[in-house]
Amino acid sequence: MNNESLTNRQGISIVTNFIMGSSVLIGNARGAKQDAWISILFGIIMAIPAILIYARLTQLYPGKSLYDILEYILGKILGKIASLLFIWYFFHLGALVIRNITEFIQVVSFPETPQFFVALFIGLLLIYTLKKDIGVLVRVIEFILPLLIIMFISTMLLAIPKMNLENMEPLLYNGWKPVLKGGFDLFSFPFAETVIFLTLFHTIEENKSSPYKIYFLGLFLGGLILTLATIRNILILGPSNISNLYFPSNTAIGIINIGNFLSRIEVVVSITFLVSCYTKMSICLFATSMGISKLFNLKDYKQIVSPITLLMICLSFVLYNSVMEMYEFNKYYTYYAIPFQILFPILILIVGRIRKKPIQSSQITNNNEN
Amino acid sequence: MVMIALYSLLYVFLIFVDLIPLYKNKEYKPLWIYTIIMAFSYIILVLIGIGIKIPSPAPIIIKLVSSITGI
Repeated sequence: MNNESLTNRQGISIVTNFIMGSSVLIGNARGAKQDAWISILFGIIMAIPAILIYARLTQLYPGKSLYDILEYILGKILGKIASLLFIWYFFHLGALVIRNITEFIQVVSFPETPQFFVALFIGLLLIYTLKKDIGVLVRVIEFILPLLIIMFISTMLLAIPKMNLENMEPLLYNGWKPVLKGGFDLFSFPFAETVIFLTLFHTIEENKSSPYKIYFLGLFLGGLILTLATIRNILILGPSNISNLYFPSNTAIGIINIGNFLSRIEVVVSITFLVSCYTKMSICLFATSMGISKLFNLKDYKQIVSPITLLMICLSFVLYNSVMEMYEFNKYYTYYAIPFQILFPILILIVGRIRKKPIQSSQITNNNEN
Repeated sequence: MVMIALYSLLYVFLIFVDLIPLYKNKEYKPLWIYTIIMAFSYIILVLIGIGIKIPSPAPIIIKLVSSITGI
């Protein structure tokens, strides 16, 4: 994204795809059972303040990525330390998503194939994508998102005969507590993970694109897809089945059978998962490489993409021993991510206000002219 | 063993595609960073390949979170 800028439409597509990412895959708010869809709505509402902060930061420091902002506000040494924390978070997040997708492929499609084999090809694809610049990925996603939405809607429609409205009842049987807890989980995974876009959205078209519009529409569209997917899963499988399954969407779509002719179409869902997880992995890898290249003052992030991808794959191997551990870790992830998603952005905003004036657009134009 | 062999092929490929051009262009800073990260990841991969258990950061994060939040 060096010489080109991001349009509104591209921004919205990539945020939507990022939010769909691994959360459609592994299901959400399991504790809330039949009320999981209400949890998602709460999650969206909770995410609005966070997204306002991210959009405000993008607007206050146009043309500066998260790492530049940190160095500009906190000074060289403190800025680099803070950058290092964010680099770790994005790196870890990327490894988590790689692990999610390799577990998914092993559990659902290829039980006999070792995970390292799948990870090898994912790694190659990621290296190739980022070597060709993140702009290519953004354009691909812009093109492919409508197709994914069409696929999603068609699976929803085909699943109607298998839906049972009684599965949604009784509403709020366990009270508000699990619903709110589920909302909080959803806030940190996936909605507030959009903090990662602070490393990308400095390239949005000035005067034409608005970070607020991109973040809000992306959040609402991604949230809507998550809500619909969860409602579909609850209606087809019922709350008790959902909490026992590792990948509920896949099973729900696998049940579809239209006249013994159209059946086993879960591959359609797999395509959606793979594309959206691929987006999420690429963005995480981009953010990490960008961070490390800024940390060492390198010319281009593309120079060090390959070793970072391999290191990320290594981390994804050592993270957990089994798929059960992966779900166990998700409970703690919510709290672990809060500093990166909320505390640090708020601190940046406040310290930026106290220490330095925000950069005005005219200043950048003057600098460029000089 | 299959894992080590496959990944070694990938590393050799990347050395030809990435590392040698960096050396030819005399960009020594990225060259060093590239080599160090690459060597580190290769060591971890070989250790995983021969069956040595690498400590995961997940239990540390879980301990840290539960000590703060008390879950």
